Parts: sequence; C-alpha cells; structure tokens
Amino acid sequence: MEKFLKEKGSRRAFLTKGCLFLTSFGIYPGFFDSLTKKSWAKRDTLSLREAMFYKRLANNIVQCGVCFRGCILKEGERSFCRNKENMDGRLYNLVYGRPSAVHVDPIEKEPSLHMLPGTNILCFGTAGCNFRCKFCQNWHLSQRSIEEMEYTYDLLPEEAVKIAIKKRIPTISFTYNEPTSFYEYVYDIARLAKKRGLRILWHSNGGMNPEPLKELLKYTDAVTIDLKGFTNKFYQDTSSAKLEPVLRTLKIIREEGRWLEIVNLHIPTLNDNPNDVKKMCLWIKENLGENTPLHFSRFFPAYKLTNLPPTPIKKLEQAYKIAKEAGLEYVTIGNVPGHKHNSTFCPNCGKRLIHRIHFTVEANNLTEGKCKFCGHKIPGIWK
Amino acid sequence: MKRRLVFAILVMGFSGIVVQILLLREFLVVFSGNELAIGIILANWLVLEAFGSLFVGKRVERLKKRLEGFVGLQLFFSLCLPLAVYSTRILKNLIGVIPGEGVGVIPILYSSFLIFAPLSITHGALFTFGCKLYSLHFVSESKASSIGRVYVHETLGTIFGAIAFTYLLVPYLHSIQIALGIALLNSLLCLLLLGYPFRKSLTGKSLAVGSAVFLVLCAYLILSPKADKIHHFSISRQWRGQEVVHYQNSIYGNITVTQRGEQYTFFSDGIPIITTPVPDIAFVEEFVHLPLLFHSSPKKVLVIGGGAGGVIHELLKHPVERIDYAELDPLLLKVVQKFPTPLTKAEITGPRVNIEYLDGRFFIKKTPHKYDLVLIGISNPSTLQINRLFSKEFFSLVKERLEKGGILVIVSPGSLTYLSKALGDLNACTLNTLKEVYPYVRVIPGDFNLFLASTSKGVSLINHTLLSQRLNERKLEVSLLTPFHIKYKLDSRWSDWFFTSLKGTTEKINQDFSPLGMFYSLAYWNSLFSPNMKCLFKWFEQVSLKLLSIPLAIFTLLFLIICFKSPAIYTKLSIPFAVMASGFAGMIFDLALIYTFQAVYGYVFHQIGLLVAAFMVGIAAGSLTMTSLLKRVKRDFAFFIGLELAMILFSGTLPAIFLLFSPYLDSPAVFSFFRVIFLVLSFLSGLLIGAQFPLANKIYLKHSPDLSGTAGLLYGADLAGGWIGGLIGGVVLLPVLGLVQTCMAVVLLKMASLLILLVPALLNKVR
Repeated sequence: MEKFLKEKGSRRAFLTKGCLFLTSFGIYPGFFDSLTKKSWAKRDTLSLREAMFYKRLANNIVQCGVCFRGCILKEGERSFCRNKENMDGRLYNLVYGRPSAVHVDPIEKEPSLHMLPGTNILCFGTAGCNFRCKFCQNWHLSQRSIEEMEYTYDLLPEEAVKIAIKKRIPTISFTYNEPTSFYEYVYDIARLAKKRGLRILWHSNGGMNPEPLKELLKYTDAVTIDLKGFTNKFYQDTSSAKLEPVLRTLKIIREEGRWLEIVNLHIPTLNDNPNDVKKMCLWIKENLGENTPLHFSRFFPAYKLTNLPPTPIKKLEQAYKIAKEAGLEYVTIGNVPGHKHNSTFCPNCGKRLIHRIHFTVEANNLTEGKCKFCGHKIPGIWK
Repeated sequence: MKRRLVFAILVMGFSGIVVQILLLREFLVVFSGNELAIGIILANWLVLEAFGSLFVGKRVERLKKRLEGFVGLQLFFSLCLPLAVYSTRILKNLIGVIPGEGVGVIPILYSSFLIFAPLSITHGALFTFGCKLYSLHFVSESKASSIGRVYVHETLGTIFGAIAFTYLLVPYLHSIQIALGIALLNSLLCLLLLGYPFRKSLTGKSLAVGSAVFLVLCAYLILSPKADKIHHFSISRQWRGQEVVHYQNSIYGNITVTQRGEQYTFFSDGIPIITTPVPDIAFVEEFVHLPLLFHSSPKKVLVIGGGAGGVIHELLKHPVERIDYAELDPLLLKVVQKFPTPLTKAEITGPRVNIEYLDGRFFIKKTPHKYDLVLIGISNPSTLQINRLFSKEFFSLVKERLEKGGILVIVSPGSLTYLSKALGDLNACTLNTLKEVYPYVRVIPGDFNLFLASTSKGVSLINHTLLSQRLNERKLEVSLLTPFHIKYKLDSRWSDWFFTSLKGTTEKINQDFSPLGMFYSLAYWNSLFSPNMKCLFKWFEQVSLKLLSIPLAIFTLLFLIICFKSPAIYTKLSIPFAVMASGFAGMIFDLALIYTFQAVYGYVFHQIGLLVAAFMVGIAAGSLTMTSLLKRVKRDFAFFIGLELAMILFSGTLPAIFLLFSPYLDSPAVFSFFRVIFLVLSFLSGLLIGAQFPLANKIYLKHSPDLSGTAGLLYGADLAGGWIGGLIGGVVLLPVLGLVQTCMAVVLLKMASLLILLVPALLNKVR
C-alpha cells in the first residue's frame, strides 16, 4: 500500500481507473439493475403472444412494424417501447395478458366527451410506451418495463371481456400507457368485445403505423388522440418522438370513419405559442373537419417536468378563442374544474348541450343525438 | 508578514464557508434539493477539498516560490468563484435538459462535482500551502503546532464567514455581488501578501499585476450596475422562457416569482408552490372540503404550511371561527402580498385568519388552542426538517391539540393508476405511523392520497351521502365538488385497490429518532429519475448494525494482521484512519444534534445557527488548547488514546442523554435546561474533534518529517470522514438505523480505530 501510494504513476492510474469505474455507473444505466434482473427470455415462450405486423429479416433479425419507429432487433434485443423481444428470430409481446392497471373510470376522464356521457369505461393499461414524455402522468407504468412492475394481473382477453359484461360496463378502454405498445392484447380484446356488443375506445399518442392502425380500427368505435404540440421540435425535445406520424394517424382515423377526439395539453413555454395553436387548429379543420372535438387541458407539474408553472387560464381561453376562430365547433377546456368551457355548447344555437363539472355530467340536453333546443345534429356516439 | 499570513488564513476560512453555502443555495434552486441532493453537494465539496489538500497541497514542498504559489492559488480561486455562480445558474442549459425539467442523482453528482472542482481543490490546497508558509514564518513553532494554528485560524474564519453570510450578505446582496465581493477580498489579499517586500521575480510581478487587474475589475463590476446586469441576465437564462418578476433570498431559501399573462407563480427553491389567481382547483378543493365535510361542525382550524394560494380561501367558505396558519418563511407571504389578488388578500389579511411565522412543529408545541382540524399543507417528507411533520411524535403532539372528534389531515403523493413499491412504501410508512397514534384513519386515494386521522369513529363511518348532505347544508360555492364527484372519490373500489396494492410494502413507522419517512421519500424521488438505482435503495433499507459490524470487524482484523507483518503500514495509516473516523463521528454528532434539536424545539434558524457555531467554536477551542499544550505534552500517544476513548464514551452517552430527558420534556424547567445541554453537547463534540487534529499531526510527524504531506493527508482524512458521515450518515444511517443505533455505529467505528492504534503498539511493547 505504501509503495503503491508512493508511486505517482500508479496513483494516477488508480485515480483514472476509479473515475472511469464511477462514471460507468452513470453511463451504463442498467448497471444496478443488471445485478438483479431476471432474463425475461427464459419465460415459457408458449404463454407469450407472437407480435403482429413484424418482418423477419436475415440472420434472425426482425423489424417491428406496429409503430413509426420500426425497431430492428437482433436476437434477444428489446424494442424501444420495452415490450417486445426478439426470441430466436421471432418477435413476442411480453405484456400480453398482463395488465398492470385495470380500473373503472368515468368516460369524461378519458376524455371522450361525445360518447355515452355519464357512463363508465373499463380501462386497461400495461407497462411500456413508445414515447418518452417528460410530463407523463402515468410514468409509473409507461416509462417502465414489465420486469420493473411490482405487480401485474393475469388476464387473458376472454376474462377481460367477461369483467366488462359482468360489471355492465358498456365500453372497454385502453389508456394510461400507449395501446400501440400492447397492440396484440388490445387487438384480441377488441375483436372479442365487439362480438359481445361492447364498445371499444382507446387513448393514444398517435404513433401507430397505418397498416396496424387500419386493422385495429375495424374493431374500434372511438379514439382519443393526444396532439401534444404542433412542432417537430416539441415532439423531439419533450417526447423523443415525431409529429408527422401523429398527423397521419389522425387522418386515417377520420378516413376510416371512426369517432375521433383530440387532446392538447397546454404546457407553458413549451407548446403554448399562439401561432402554433392557430396552425394546429387550421390543420384540424382542413384535414379532419370542423366537428372534431378539441380539448385544451391545463398542465400541472408532473413526472420530470416539475419546475414549470401551471397553464394560465387566460392562455387556455386564448387557445379556445383561436380554435373557435379557426372554425372548430366543439372546443373545451379541461383540468380547470368549474370552467364554463368544460361543457359542450351547440354550435348552432349556442346553448349548453352537456353541462360538465370535471367528471360530473350535471345535465345532458341531447335527444337522440340532437340538440334539445334547436334540433341541430351533434356528431358522436350517443347510444 | 506574520500578521498578513494569519489574516490570509482567516480569509481562507471565511471565503471557504461563504462559497460553500452560496453555491449550495444556488444549486438548491436548480435542483430543488431534498436531503440527498444537499448531502451529495456538500459531500462533493468535502471530498474535492480533501483531494486538494492531499495531492495538490503536497507540491508545496517541491516548490521554490511558496508564497507565489499560495497567491497563485488564491487568485485562481477568486477567478473561478463568479464563474462558478454563473455556471450554476445556467447549468440546466449546459447539461441539455428542457426548460422546467428536473434532474436526478447522477446529474446532481457530476455537475456539482465539476463546478466545485476548481474551487474546492484550490481551497484544500491553500490549507496545506498555508501550513507550510506558517511554519516558515513562525520558526519558533513546531511543525505540529503550525498545522494546529492554521487549523484554528481557518476555523475562526469559518465561524465569521457563516455569521456574516447569514446576517450581512444574504439579506442585502445577491449571489453575483457576494461572489464578486469574495473575489475582491481575495485579490486584495494577494496584493497584500505580494506587496512588501516587493517581489522581484517575474512570477511575483505578473501575479501582482494579475491581482491588481482583477481587483479593479471586481471593484468596477460591483460598483457599476454591471453586477446587477450579470445577475439579471443569468437569472433569465436560468428561468428560460419565463418572465421573472421577483427574485429574493431569505435565510430559508429562494423565492422567485414568474409572470405569464395574468398569472403569477411563486417558486420556493425552484418548485412552484403558489399560483394566482387560479390555483390547482382540484387539489385545494379536495384537500380542504373533503376533510371539513367529514367534521360535523368545524370551528377552529390549524394549517401548517401551504395555506396561502387557495387552501385558506376554501377554508373560509365554511363557517369556521378561527384559522391559525403557521408558515416558516415570512418572505413568502411578503412576496405574495407584493402581487396581490382578491383571493390571497382575503387569505392573508382576513379577520378570521391568524398567521404565525413559525415552524409548524414549534407552533403546535406552544399553542394553547385546540383545533377541530389540523391540515398539513406539505406533502412529502423529503428533508429531515420536513420529516418532523410526519413522525409518530408529531402526530401525538397534534392529537393532544385536537378537540373531541378532531381530524388530522395529511396528504401524500399518489396515483389512481398504479402504486409502485416506492410510492407504496412512502404511503404505507405514513399510514402505519398514523395508525400507531390514531385508532381511526381514513384514506381517500387520488392523484394525491388524503389521510384523515382521528380518535373518533366518524372518519371511518361517514359515507358520501352524508358528505353531500353537508355540502348542501353549508351552501359551499365550489367548482369541483359535486355529489357525483364525492361519490366517485369515496367509492370503495379505490380504497380496496389502494390497500391491496400496499401489500408487501413496509410495515415500519416514521419516528423522530428514526426518520424513515424521509428515506422512503428519497427512494421514491430516486425511482422517478433513476429507476435503475432502485435496488441500491433496497440494499440501504436492509442496513442494520449487525450488517455493518461484520465488515468492520473483518476490516479491523485484516488491518491488524497487515500491521503485524509490516509496521511501516501501521505508522503510515493508523493515525489517518483514526482522524477519518473522527471526521465521520463529528459529522454524525453535528447532524444528530441539529436534527434532535429541531425535533424537540422546532426549526428556529438562529438557534440552529447557534448550535453550529457552538460546534465550530468547540473545534477551534479544542485545537487551540491542544496546539498550545503540544510542547508540554510528553506522552502524545497515551493522550491520543485518551481522546479516542473520550469520543467513544461521548457517542455512547449522546443517545442516552436524549432518551433520558425526553420523557420529562413537558416540564418547563427541563425544557429550558435541555436547550443548554444541546449547546454544551455541540461544544463538547467539537472540542473532542478539534483537540485530536493537532495531536494527530504531532504523532504523525514523528515518523514522517514531511510537513505539507502530513497536513494534507490528515486534513484530507478528516474531510473524507465528514464526507462519508454527511452522505451515508444523513441519508441512510440516521433514517434507517435511527439515532441510537447510528451513534452505536460511531462507537463501533471508533473502537475499530482504537484497536488499530492500540493493539500493534501494545504488541510492540511486549516484544
């Protein structure tokens, strides 16, 4: 030791190595985990669901085709969403039949405001997501892998549908985390549920590829899409994603004739530029139609985005005004309980159609999908 | 020259502490620090300073122009200081996070390391250089007493620095001015040291010119509006995209206000805590109205923290007669009043509201009133200080202040989607602790979980129908709460799910003397930013005295065997190890005393300052006495062993004293007397540690005549011990083991260092 300390060269070497060792903790994020992690690949492959829409390339390499990322995976590799793994040249979804969150919520929480107001939805969420939003409300699920879940439910599609029927819940919803990342599970439940007369709703970031999207829409009634911002920079910086696939998804849902609503979380300094809001609203009107509901939602510090103020109410009202001026007919403001524009108004006579207080539906002035006061037809799913 | 040198060392201590606190506070605004962040930042300072004194400081022996070396270091230190403040402020832009994004352990670790590095390494080296210069100029002093004197002067400078920072600098100056001021002081000193006799060497001349130029520059910046400009520019960079309309520091921390349109947001150390004119409606309404509706007739309410900005406004809607509101930092409400809205005006100046600028814990102890409801407006025990509002002892205090049927209301982070183990532990710990004290605890899960604790059965029995009925009866004008919403919140499916998800989480409780709540809060925070380090916290949770003693025993045994084989290693390493163990012990004593004091008397800033001062004065007195005794002491080694034994005894009795007195604290005489005991204990612990340092140097110098090497090594060992104590002690040992066992851990460590010193020495004698 003494000799060691005296030799300057070795001391320097010791320090360099020590520093390298220490930084390796930081550089390799899985260091501590790798000490305890069990290999998921060892799980019996029979109980896993093979992924849909993937391509098998040479040398046991596969390419996932469900979302815009198109992860190319060698044997044993895991997709960006953390949910798919290449096992012996086949791609499997690891969260199939293993949701981590199963809850009954009011449909207003989704939000899906033009669909069966005041009813409940049976919601499913799993681990994983193909985005990395720094403001994610459900980061406990979406930003983790199945191995990191402390508990999951074993629930195959059959049983999931049975719960909804038994509890007399009219709609099944896939929400909390990104349904694209548990596509196969969503698809199987949706197909089964449609046969039993249930409604299918999902809340997505819109990153799905056209082919799987169209296939899933066959068994879907309504979709709520987060249009998180209207610049590619925002998508890149805050969510590690892209704007273009989301816009494509929105158009396809409209083309396929499914009910579509859009949510925009208005984050101060990051995506609340009035010019961008205007561009977004005009785009929606032009490509999706003026009767597409758009919800501006108040931001509160969450997950990693902890040092920003909540959205000023005036900003939300400004966005509301921009949207109305752009010609959108159904614009609401969310996350501000008691706000006038939490409710839906008739674009024809201007009267309040659905009086909402947060999740509460105080009054519903629709009869058979029409305004009670003027008879104007209101688009949506009303029975 | 002699006087100038002493002055230089005083300034060194003064600058060191000012820079350390200044940057810590700047870091906390950036990182919104919890106890772990504070620990990491201070630990980085200490370890870098140790590195500087040990490795850089040593070079003074081989240097010919020692004074120039000292001055050079000092000038470098001064140059780096304003830059460090500036780069701390723009740190988030540098490390590439988006505006408003928080960061986790790893960025805190490396960025504070990098920003501190030039400053603390230089500061550490200055100590060693100072020792050498001192011994050269004060030839009458022995080497050991030179080091001792420098240590004393540095400590005195530290005491002045801490006092000046708190009472003179923070209230009147902003960080850029303080940094420039310290730089100015140091460059002035450089000139003073070089000035007479005038240095003829080229290095000396260029240093003098450099110092003079820098001095003028600093003076110009301070006197002209430039310093303010830099200050404002760096703040606007720090708060990218937001318009900062107010920025002020109090002794408790930083308050910043930003404006966006009509909205003002008040940030406390970087975290938004109040938003006007429209608060987080869902939070304030659920936090206030649900509990108040649980009570049949709420008349007197106490709010501890977080009352302004919505909560009191909601409370006032009920037929309450009196609202007491305890808020620690007067600056917060002062600033809120600077940007008034009808809502906050009614809250702060309303006739039914009585505001006390006091620590909540202190308030509840001294108030003669009893309450129908006590609302804790702080949601997460992320520091030892906040943890005192979540402990069993605090809950018992509140219980005594509750009227019959009264309710204690506490919130905790939650989720209605998924309850991870980390989040579950945090909630379970609060729940278990509440259940220890209150027979009835109702949980209302949500994005934040609401805990209602009471001694009467009502909280468990009341259903949504009754609440809705009361909502009607009291004619509350609310925005969120509807009978439907109340029914939804109270639906048994949520509480059933909540309790099922809690299975497998902790069964432990949070106590003053084992602040586990804080530990789980840190583990939760860590799970958010660095999920890959989750298992590290799992290991920490398992730490026990037994687990610590085994490796320590093995280490001691191995060390002894090696010493037996090679006596050189014994002489080289046994003393530094003892000094390091003392550094560790000192840090633990300091932490334990401050924390226990807060638990007993509440957080009163000036008294805490007094406690720290007593500790520092103890160190200074100890090393001063020992330094002057050095020549007379003949049996150094025996004396040293005596000090080691005294330290073991001290850490053994420390918890005993606390435990002995705590049952009698209700008696006013004991209560006041106990306060003096704290001061005495702080002084004593400092005294022991301070006394050991010069003696250690004397003993060590017998075998190694290299003065700067010795000073550097031992100073470094002392700091390294403090580093371990601050980081591991504050974050793991104190919360997980508790106060008593942590002190026992110190006993074990000091026994190990004693054995390592004593056994080989005795064996040698026998031989």
